[in-house]
Amino acid sequence: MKYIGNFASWIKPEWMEEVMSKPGFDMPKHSIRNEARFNPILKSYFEEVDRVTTQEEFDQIIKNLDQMDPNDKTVIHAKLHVDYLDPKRILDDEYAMYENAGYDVWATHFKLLEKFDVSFDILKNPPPFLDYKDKHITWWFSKMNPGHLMPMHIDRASPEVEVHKYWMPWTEYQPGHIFICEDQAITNYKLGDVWMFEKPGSWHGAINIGYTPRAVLQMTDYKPSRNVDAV
Amino acid sequence: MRFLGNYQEWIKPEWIEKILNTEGCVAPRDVNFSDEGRKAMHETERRMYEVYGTNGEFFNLLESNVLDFDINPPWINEEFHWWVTKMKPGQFIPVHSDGPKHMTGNRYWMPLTDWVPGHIFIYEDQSVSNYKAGDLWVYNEAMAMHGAINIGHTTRLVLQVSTFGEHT
Repeated sequence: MKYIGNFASWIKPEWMEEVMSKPGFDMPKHSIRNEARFNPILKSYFEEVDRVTTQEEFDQIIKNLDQMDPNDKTVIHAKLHVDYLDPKRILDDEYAMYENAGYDVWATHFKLLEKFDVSFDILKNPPPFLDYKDKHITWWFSKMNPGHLMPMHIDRASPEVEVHKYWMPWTEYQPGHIFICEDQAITNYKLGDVWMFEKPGSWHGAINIGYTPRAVLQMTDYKPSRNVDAV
Repeated sequence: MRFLGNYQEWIKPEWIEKILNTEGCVAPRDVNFSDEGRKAMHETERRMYEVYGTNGEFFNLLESNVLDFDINPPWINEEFHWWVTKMKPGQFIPVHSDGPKHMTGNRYWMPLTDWVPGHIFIYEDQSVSNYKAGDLWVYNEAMAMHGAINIGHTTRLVLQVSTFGEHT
């Protein structure tokens, strides 16, 4: 990891308050639902059944959808993505890797807040370290309460696209707040410090074995391939 | 922590097999906390159980009474106590301090498995990684905050040996 500098003054107090107060999605449990978690109809089942474990529960969701207005855009979207709730769904390689190691992929290992989940857009006041011209930027927050973790993994990125990945803690370091990239543990940092991954394809993971919540902003920039507009 | 050397040749392959095949005691879930034990805890240890509870599965504790072998560490010539911590993926020990009552002598820390990404021992703000099976460290600062993590994809085994004499 390459240290870029401290940009704490860029973080607005109201952003911080919102990030720390919003619960966020349960990961990876809700990630497995993928697009389904953005659909208000399907999302309601998360609270009802939380974890769709039986075929009967899944069949009931399908029946319920069939009774709704087939021309309603939300219903159409729900039908397109309802398979993410299928208990027989075959998980992709990444989740299979976690399951093979013994992780419960239906558990809450950490909380995720994406741009859809907060009222502000950091790109309207872009961070000074980010070279965003003609680039596609994705950003999200991971929040970890004591005991939360993110198993070691490699982010998927096309090797043909130049990717920059940034890591920025929004909470002060406390003993037990650990971020690991390859064999390097990042500790003793300050709120607002920014690191860039030297190799975007590095193994990395995180854990909170401390006593206070930990929040981190992650940002990725890349130049889109031809025929894709930068957003 | 002070690195003392590598003792990989001293580790017998059958120990590893036995350790991997023995469940041991799941800590802290299966640990019987006596009133005396609780009193002896350092305040950070007590806080750890207040925050994380005592029903968790931080790691499997294997002491000599559940393993059918004994060890004779070549680097020790005094009375000692030993145990093995077996940490599966996703398990961890929150940062805590053992306190002076636990640390009258030296604590030796020896991984029995090669380092892989996600296997970390945290000692104060340092992380011990990139090690080889058989590497040996000693630590004896009773108040040092430490913890351990396995967010990797394989089981992590560590031998710990405590002596009761004076710090070296």
